[in-house]
Parts: sequence; structure tokens; C-alpha cells
Amino acid sequence: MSSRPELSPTAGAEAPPDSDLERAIAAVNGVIVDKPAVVELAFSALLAGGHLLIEDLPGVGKTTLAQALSLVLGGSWQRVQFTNDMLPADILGVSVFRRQDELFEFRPGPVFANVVLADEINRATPRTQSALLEAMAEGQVTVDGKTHTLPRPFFVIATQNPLDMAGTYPLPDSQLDRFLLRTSIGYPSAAEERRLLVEPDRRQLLETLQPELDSQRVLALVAQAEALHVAEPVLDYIQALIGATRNHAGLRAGLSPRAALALIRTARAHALVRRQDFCLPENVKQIFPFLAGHRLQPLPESGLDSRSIVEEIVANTAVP
Amino acid sequence: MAHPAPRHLPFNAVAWTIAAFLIAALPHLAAMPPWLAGFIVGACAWRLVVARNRGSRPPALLRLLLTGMAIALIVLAFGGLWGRRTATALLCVMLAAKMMEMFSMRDLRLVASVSFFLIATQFLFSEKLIYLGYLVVGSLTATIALVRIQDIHGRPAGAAPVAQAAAVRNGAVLLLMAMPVALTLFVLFPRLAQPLWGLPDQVLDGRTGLSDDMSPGSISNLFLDDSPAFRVEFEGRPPPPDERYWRGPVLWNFDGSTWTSPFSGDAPRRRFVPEGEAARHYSIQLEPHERRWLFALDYPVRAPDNATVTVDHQLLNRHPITALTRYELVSNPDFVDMPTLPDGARSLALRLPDGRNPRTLELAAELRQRHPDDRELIAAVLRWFREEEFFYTLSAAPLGRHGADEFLFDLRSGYCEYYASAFAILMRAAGIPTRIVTGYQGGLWQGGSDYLLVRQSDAHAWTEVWLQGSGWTRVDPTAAVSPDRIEQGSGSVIERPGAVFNFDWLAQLRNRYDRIQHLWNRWVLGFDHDRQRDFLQRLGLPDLTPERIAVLMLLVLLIVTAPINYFLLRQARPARRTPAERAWHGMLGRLRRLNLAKHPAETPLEFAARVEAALPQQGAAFRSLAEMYCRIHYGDRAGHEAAFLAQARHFSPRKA
Amino acid sequence: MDSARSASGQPSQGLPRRWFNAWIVRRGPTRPPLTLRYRQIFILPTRFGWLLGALMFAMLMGSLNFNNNLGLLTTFIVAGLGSNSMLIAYRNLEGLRILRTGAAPVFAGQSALLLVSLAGNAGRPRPGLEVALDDNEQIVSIPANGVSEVQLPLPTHHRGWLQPGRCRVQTCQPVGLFRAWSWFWPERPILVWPRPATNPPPLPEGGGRREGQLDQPQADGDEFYSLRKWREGDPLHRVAWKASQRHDTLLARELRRPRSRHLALDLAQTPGQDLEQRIGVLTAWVLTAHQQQRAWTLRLGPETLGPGRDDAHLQRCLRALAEFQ
Repeated sequence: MSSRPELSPTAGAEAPPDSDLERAIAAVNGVIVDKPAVVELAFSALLAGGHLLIEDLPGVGKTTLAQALSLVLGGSWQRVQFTNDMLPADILGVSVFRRQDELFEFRPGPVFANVVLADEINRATPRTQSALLEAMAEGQVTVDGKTHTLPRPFFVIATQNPLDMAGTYPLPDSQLDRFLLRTSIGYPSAAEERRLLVEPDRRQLLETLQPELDSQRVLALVAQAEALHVAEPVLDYIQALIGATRNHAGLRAGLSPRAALALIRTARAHALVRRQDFCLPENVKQIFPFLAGHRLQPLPESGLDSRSIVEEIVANTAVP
Repeated sequence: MAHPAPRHLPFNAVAWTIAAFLIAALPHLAAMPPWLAGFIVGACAWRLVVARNRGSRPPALLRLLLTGMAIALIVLAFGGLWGRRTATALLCVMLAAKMMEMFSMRDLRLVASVSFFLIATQFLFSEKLIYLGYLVVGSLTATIALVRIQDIHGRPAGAAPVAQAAAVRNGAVLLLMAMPVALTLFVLFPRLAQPLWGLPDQVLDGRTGLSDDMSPGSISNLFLDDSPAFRVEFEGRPPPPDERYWRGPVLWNFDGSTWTSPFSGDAPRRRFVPEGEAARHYSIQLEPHERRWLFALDYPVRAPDNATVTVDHQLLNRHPITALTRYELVSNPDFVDMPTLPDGARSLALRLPDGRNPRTLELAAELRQRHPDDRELIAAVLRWFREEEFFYTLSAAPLGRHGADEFLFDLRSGYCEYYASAFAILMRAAGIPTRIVTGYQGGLWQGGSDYLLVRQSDAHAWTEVWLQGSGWTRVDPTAAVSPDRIEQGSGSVIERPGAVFNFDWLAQLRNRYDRIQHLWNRWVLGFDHDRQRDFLQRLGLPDLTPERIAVLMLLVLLIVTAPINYFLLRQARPARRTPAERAWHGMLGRLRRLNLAKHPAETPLEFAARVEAALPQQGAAFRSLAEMYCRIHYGDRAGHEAAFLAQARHFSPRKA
Repeated sequence: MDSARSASGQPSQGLPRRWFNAWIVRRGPTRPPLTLRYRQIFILPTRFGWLLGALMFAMLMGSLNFNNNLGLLTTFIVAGLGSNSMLIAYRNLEGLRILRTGAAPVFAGQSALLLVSLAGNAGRPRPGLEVALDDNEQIVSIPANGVSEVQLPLPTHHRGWLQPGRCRVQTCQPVGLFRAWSWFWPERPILVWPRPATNPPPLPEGGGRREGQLDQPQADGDEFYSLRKWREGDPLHRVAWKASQRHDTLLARELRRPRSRHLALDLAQTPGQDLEQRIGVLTAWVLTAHQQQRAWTLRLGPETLGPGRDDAHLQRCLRALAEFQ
């Protein structure tokens, strides 16, 4: 993520320089300073129609990022602070018996929103987590035998704290792939940290954010990303990366074909976020660690973690 | 490392190995007594059944017993004669015995590789053109067998064996790839000018061809043998048919039933034979006959290398002819042999056994009385042969104690040996020194290819009488009886047993085949030390020593195997590059020379960023080129290609 | 990895062997991931190759002597087969990539399975590769552009890290005349857990909960544990209204369930005559505790692991037991 190659904008590029998408990205970057790559990833996940898991220490700005995203996207948004006493109904909603017309009325839970910020998801019990993860996967909620469709776009940003393992329920490996990307934010640079110290609280900046996009616009952008050109060499590169995970002896299993499709989709979205009109290997290369990391399970005996394996694969896969 | 042998060898591998063995042994089997061939084929069949039923090897004692029995029978059948046939038969029997205990991979491999050896030994017996097919089929089968055997071990546990078609293809490809090496070695491997060792004569067990003695009525099957004896190419016109007498062993001694050479027959000729005015120049390709003699027209001026001329003008090679041999000769037909006859030779040429052929002796005395002159006497006898009821036939009865009497007065039908023998006895009885010459007469002129084909069936015997003034003079009594035999060749007088098949077209076909065979002999089998030298000289290489030829061979080997090496070791062919890709890789190559190599895992733009840092002046140019390349390569903007190609060509990076 | 034992039978290798190994190492990379190049590939005829060579020599001499050209041709065909076999054996190894070696930890006395994963390059299949470690040999074929794996059993005797010795990958393709081979060393040692004691004494109950050790919060607990700041999503009935009033902020009650006491396994208090026996007993206890889904702490000298009861904790404990000196 060191260099960010940029193709000079060309005439006829889908997104004009001052497009709403650009403004939205710029707005979030205004709040989460010095982390443009993370912001790009977040928008990529959104435009690829997936969900984002942010895993980092408390205090580095997970929630701020999620809130900033929610704010610029417009539409409805909900924040759910997960706790260990939360029940699935607290997320999904409940059917309430209405005395006056003797009918059950469905009261939608916080999940019925365009953007859902699931804070500290690993604090909830597995049952509650499952309820959210299933809703994410299916785009709908079934309560008391009735199915309720979630709004579109539907974008879940979940955060979890990797170190505070006591009293938490880490997401099961098998369900981690409900999240398209998993990323962390990382500590700010020294200069940025200094700015944070002297400037007013970033959280106050959140209040200045305005919705730059709306639901219709996001859906249009998703469709636009899906139509982006992916050339044969890029597909070759994607295949080579996926193949390398399947051939790696340190892994329990390689990436599935579904993950391969997700990689193409996300690479397209990433290209759109960068205002390219076609997909570059850079897009794939930069997305891949965040897409593959949580989907791969290293064999315990290999002594490696998935991150180093993914890095090794990227460093050893030739770009056609 | 011990390979744990599978409990049962796969049927497939066993079957191919046995097939390789049987094909290699086929000609050997045909030459064996049928019961021995039966034993070998039986052992193979038994092994196949066992392989199919996953049986086990028979007890050691039984194996030992059967093998011992077979070897004992060979000794009996071949009379303990240690000839090549015996050796190959023994080898076949040993391999058949190996079949019975062929229960490990090593055994299979041994049998498959000895198949090559068996094939090679067959060529000691015959190198005819059809054996090229035998060589190809035999080595292909053996190679496939080796591939199948390797597959027993070189296959992961539980994996399916290589498909039959794939194994056959692998074998064929292996064999095909061996060809450049084989042919190079064949042409350039230094040949021996002299054999390292000769075969002891008793190892040779003889086959069709002339023998060194002659007893009328004992061999007539030679006349039915159509196989070639030798081929002759003449410089200039070939001699007329009645002068095509190919001189072989000369027989002086007669014991009453058999003519043999004298002990002094091998003595070298001391007399000088000039070339003369009517000298004939010709070269002969002699099929191997395992005797030492070479054939020549009368009278050879000098002997080829490694051969001598005997006092009887017979050519004797130093070693038996065991391979196709080519030699060049000059003959002087006008030479007068022994204008004066030494007493020793005269008495030898007049000697007759006592108490034989009284009627012939009587006739000789009567003739002598009537014709004091030798020439008149001979003419009278030939006239008698011609005018009385004498017949030329191959189905002649064997003769008894008074052979000449029986023939001249009772039977009056026979072939050349009968006539020559009876005539010689008559002449000697009449006091005319006479000897018998055996060899070949005639030959079929192959007009299209300009060579004379002499078959075994052209074998002939005639006489030479010594006459005052003209020395030894050829007289062919058979010619008096059957001029056709001399004029038109043996084919004209032989009533074949299988006459049904004797159609013209068949004969033509045979002749045509012989022409191919001739070329084969000439260019492949006759490729010896001299031919190799000629060949290299024709290529413009000077007279090379064997060491230099060996060096040349290694060089050519390197050259001819280069394509194979390339074919084997090449990387999988990358997809064809587009012009833009070629231009891009060209630039990468130029940058690599500045120690700026693109890592395979680097994207073009990442690399461009690195170049920008390393080459401040040209970095920006390269960056823009990289962006253009990305647009062409990863985007769908093919329209920018021309500009990119032009700029990329002119991009020449330099170190700042 | 200095403490890793060698697995090639004899613990002390002879000097010539060490020199030889050093020579191999100088010729090129010897630890995966590596790609075999010509400097690392050795080739010699097999016994069968020598046999056929002798046969060929006999054929050559015989045919040359009698100027038997067809015999010579047969001989040279065999020679061509031989030279191509050498080439094919070589190319079967050339460019072979040994991607990775590794083995799952095993208990001492069990056979570790050393996994070797191999891949070709140059897009050609590589049939009949033999991968061997000491006397154990496995045969593997790699499809074109594919990856194959073999598992080599490796007997273990002592706990700790086991460094497998020199491995060999070889091939006798296509017809077994030549053997091409190369050597490599597995990239990392294998963890060998201690052999669990048979019939260990029962688990030491009543070990205990040590001071300051926090219990895990349990969602369905009902015992008041502490107050914390109210977070969105906390049910209203958990709000500690009185306390909130006092602190001028919304506080919620955190409830926890007292948990069953965990086992305290301590090397110093483990019965056994020597260290190895005690470690064996501890290993058996750790396994039993894990099997019974009970939490435990493991104390080895100054170091304490846990408490915990999941797989990761088990692995940590077994590794510590394996490494403990």
C-alpha cells in the first residue's frame, strides 16, 4: 500500500473529477486523516456490494471511520453496540402483538438500515452474531416465519477488538467470509498523531459531514463497477493468486471459486473508487490481502499466520 | 534402496516383455528344432497365464530341473557343437527359463534388454532388408516393455497405470528420439579396418552356399535356394552369359565318391598375372557365407585386401565371410594358366581311385585309341553327351560305388555335379589332367540398376583340363547337355516343386525386391571402413584417422542432439506476445542492463515508480510509457498502440 | 534450531558426510522453497543402466568386429535410448519446485508425517518422482502446472524439535536407465510433543483459583460483578439508576456467573521419578483436561500458561511441554 499509482484521468472517464463519489471519499478522508488506503477499501467493499470488518485496537478510529462512512452515504443508518446480553431480536426486530387490531406487528430492528455499524461484534454471543451474519448473507430477515427484505443498499461495517479476547466470542472462522474485506486501521503516523493531539477531537468533525451520496446513487455506482472492463491479463493474475492459495502447503484449503468472484468484483469496485475506467493488477494486488486474509486458515503446524502467507503469495505471483 | 516388489507384476508389463522377447527370438525360434522352439513358446505362454491368474513362481527345484533338461536337450540336438546357433538357442532357453522366475522388476528388465541383444545376434545370420522391419518392431516392443516396467515402480501408490495408448506413444517417441543419435553414430562411428579377432571356424555352423567338397547326388537343394549369393557391378559392359563363370573352390582329389581340395590348395599363387588387354574391372558384394573364399571371374589379377590368391587362382579371405563384404577385382580372361604342367600337379590331376568305374575306364581307353589328340577326344565326349540321351535334371538319383559308370551308362540324367564328376573321371582315365572347379555360373542382369545378381541356385561345377599350349582350359560338360543352363541361367532348367507360384509377375516382383535389397546392401550394409572414408572424403574432409573421426562424431552428435535437447528442456511455450507486449519487454530488457530489473510480482506502474526514483531524467518518460502500456494491456484502448510502439522503440535508458 | 535433533539415524555424522553435505549446500539452495537447477541435479546410471551399458558394449564389439552394420544400428539405437533417458531423467527434475515442507506435531514415539509439496514449472508433467527421507520413500507424479504432495513417515523418539535430515528427490524415468536426483533439507524442524504417560495419576483437583485471576464474564450470568458505563444496546433493566445518579453518568450492571474452578497443573507438584516422567504425566493431564473440557493452567518453572480450555491453549501447553528443558 506504499505507492498509489494513478492513471491520469482521461476524457470519458466515468467519474468526473468532482463527482459525488469523489466528494464522499474526500469527506471521509477529511475525518480519517492519513489513511486513504483504508478509506478506499471501505468504499470498495461498499461498491462491490459486500460488508466490511474492521479489526483493530480500541482508539485508532474504527468507529469514527464507520460513522463517517455512514454519514456521507446518506440513507438510513444504525449503530449497534454489541454486548454479551444482546439477543437476536435486539438486532433483527420483534413481532409485537397489537391489542387494538389484534395483529402481530413487526418492529424492525437496527439491521433494517442502509448502513449498519456493528460495534464490537465479538462481544455478542454466537447466537446474536449468527443472526446478523445470516441477515448479511441473505439480505433478508425471517422472524416468526415471516420474511422481511432488508433495504438496498445494505452495508454492514463491523468492528472487533483483536486483543481484548477476554469475555468475547471471536467470530467463527467459517462465518468470517460473510465479510467481503477485513482490514485494520493501524496507528497514525507521528506527524498525524501530533496533529490529533493539538487539533480538536475528530469526533466533532463528524458533525460537519453531509450525505454526498444517496441509496439510488450507491446502487448506480455498484452497477457501474460491475460493468468495468477487466482484461485477460488481470483475470490471469486473479487466477494465479487464487491458484497459489490452493497450492500453498501451509494452508488448510485454498480460496473458493466464490472468493475468486468476490476478488474480481472488489477489484472492479476498487478501480472505480480510484476513478479508473478499467481494472489494473494494482487493484487486485491491493485488495487481495484484505479479501484473502480472513478466508484462509493456516495449518497450525506450519507456524505461519495467514497474513504472512498472503504476503508471500502476493510477492511470489507474477503479474502478467 | 530396496524397492519392495509388488507381489504380482502387472499383466501388462509381463505381456509386453514377453512380446518383446518373442519378437526378438522369432528368427532364432524358426531356426531351432521345433520341440525346442515349442519349449520356449510354452514357457512364455505359461508365464502369461500365471500373470493373468496372479499365480506364483514354480518351486526352485522344478525350475532347475526344467532348465537343466532344456540345456541337456540343446547339447543333444546340436551335438555339443559350439556354434552361433547353439549359443543363441541357449540364450533363448535361458531367457525362457528366466520367464519362469520372472517375478521381479529386475527380471523383466533383464529379459526386455536382452531382447535388444537377441535382435543384434540375428544379424550375424542375415542382414536382409526385411530384417530392418524386424529391428524396428523388435526394438519398439522392447522399448514399450521398458516403459511399462518403469511404470510399475514409478507410479504413486494407487494411481492408475499409464494407458496402453500412452505407453505405446511414449515408447515410440523414445525410439524416434533415439534415431538422430543412432544414425549419427552409424555414419560416423569409426569402423575397424581389420577385425579385432576372427571367429574360430568351428563356431560357424555353415549354411546354404557352396561347400568345399563335392559328391554328386548329395546336395541338390542348393539349386532351389533363390537367395542371393553375390551381386556384381561392372565397369563397362558385363561379360556375355557364357563367360560368367565365378570361380570358387578347385577340387583335385577324388576318393571314389567325393571330390575335395588338396592340402596344398591354400598355398598362395606366386605367378604374376598381368591385367592384359581384355581386363574386366568389377566389384562384388558377397553375401556372408561363412567360408573364406571369394568369387571371381577367371583370372583375378590381384587379391583384394585381407585376401590371397591360391595356386588355383581361387581367392581366399583371411577370415570367414560373416558379413556382407564388398571387394573390387580386375580379371584377365586371356591369361594362360600353367603353360607347362609340373609332374606333381600332373600326377595329382590324373589320380583315380582303384577298382572304381570299370566301364568308364574301358570307355576312356577306347576313346583314347580312337582319338590320340586330347582336343579331339574332348570334342568327341562332348558330342557324345550332346547327341546321346543325356538329360539335365535336378531330380537325380543318388549314385553308388561306381558312380560314373551308373551315370554315364544307366541313368544319363543329372545336374552339373554329375556331369562334371563323370567327365573328370573319364578325362583322367583317358590320361588328360583334369580338375573340378566349383562356383557360380551366370547371374541375372538387373538392367534398371546395372548389376548382376547371382543367386545360390546359380551354383555350378565345371572342369578344367590341361592342354598342351593352352594350359588349364575350362570345359563345361553341362553346357554340352543343356546349353540353356549356361545361356539363360539356372531358372530356365529347374522344374520347381512349387511351380504353381512361379508366375512371371512373381519373378518380376522378386527381381524388383532384389534391386532394393541391392541398394540396401550397397549403402547400408556395405558401409564399412572404406566406404566411410570415401564418404567423408566426398564431404571434403581429408583422410581422417579414427581418432579424428571420433572427434567429428562427437561434434556432430552435439549438433544433432541439440534440437532434441531443446525439445525436451524448453519451457512451456508462452502465449504469443502482442506487439505492445514485445515492445514493453524490449524496454524491460534495456532497463535490466542498467540493473533495473522488473520483479515478476511487480506491476508495470509499481516498476515505473521504482524507475522514476532510479533514473530521474528518464523516469517520467518511462512512467508515461508504462501508463500507456497499462491502458493497452489492461484496458481496451487498442487505439493508442501505434503511438506507444513508436515511443517505446525510441526509449533508451541511460544511467544518470 | 540448534537444539533440533537430526533424524538421520546416527546423531553424530561422520566427517566425510558433513563435508559432502556442505558441498551440496554450496551448490545451490537446499531448503524449500527452492527450484532445482542443473547445479543441484546429479545423475548416474542405475544398476540396470550399467547392465544395459555392458550389453551394449558387447553388441558394439561384436558388430564392429564382423562389420555387421545392422548389429551396429541396433547398438546405436540402444545408445540413443540411453542418452535420451539421461536427458529425460534430468528434465524431469529440472525446474522442479519444492514449495514447502512441514509436519503436524506428533507425540514422541509416533511417526511424524513430513509433508513435502512439489510443483513443476515449464508446463510439463513430471511423472514418477521418488521423494525419500532415510529409508522411507514415496512416489508422486506432478501433473503439468499442478502441485502434488507426499507424506514421508518419520519416526520420533524424543520430545522437542526434530530436524529431519537430508531428503532426496529422484527419478528414474523414462525406462529406469538413469537416476537423476537432488537433495534438500526440510525447511523447519518438527515439533514432537512429549509422550503422554500411560495410566497417569488422576487430575489434581483442588488446585485452585489464584488471587487476582479474573473470571470470564458470562452472558447468562446472574451474579453482580461490577458497574460499567452504559453502552448503547444495554437493556434498560440493567441500568444501575442509583449509581448513575451518583456519578452523573449512565452506568450499567455487569453480571457474571461464577465459573467452576480451573485445574492448576504444576510441574513442581507432579509425581514422577525424573523430569521426563513428570512431563509425561503432565502431558496426559493436559490432554485429559482438554478432553473433559475443563479449564487449566500449566505451570512449568517460572512460566504459567492459561487458564484456558480451547485448542489453542492445548497447543501452547503441549509445545511448552515439548520444549521444556
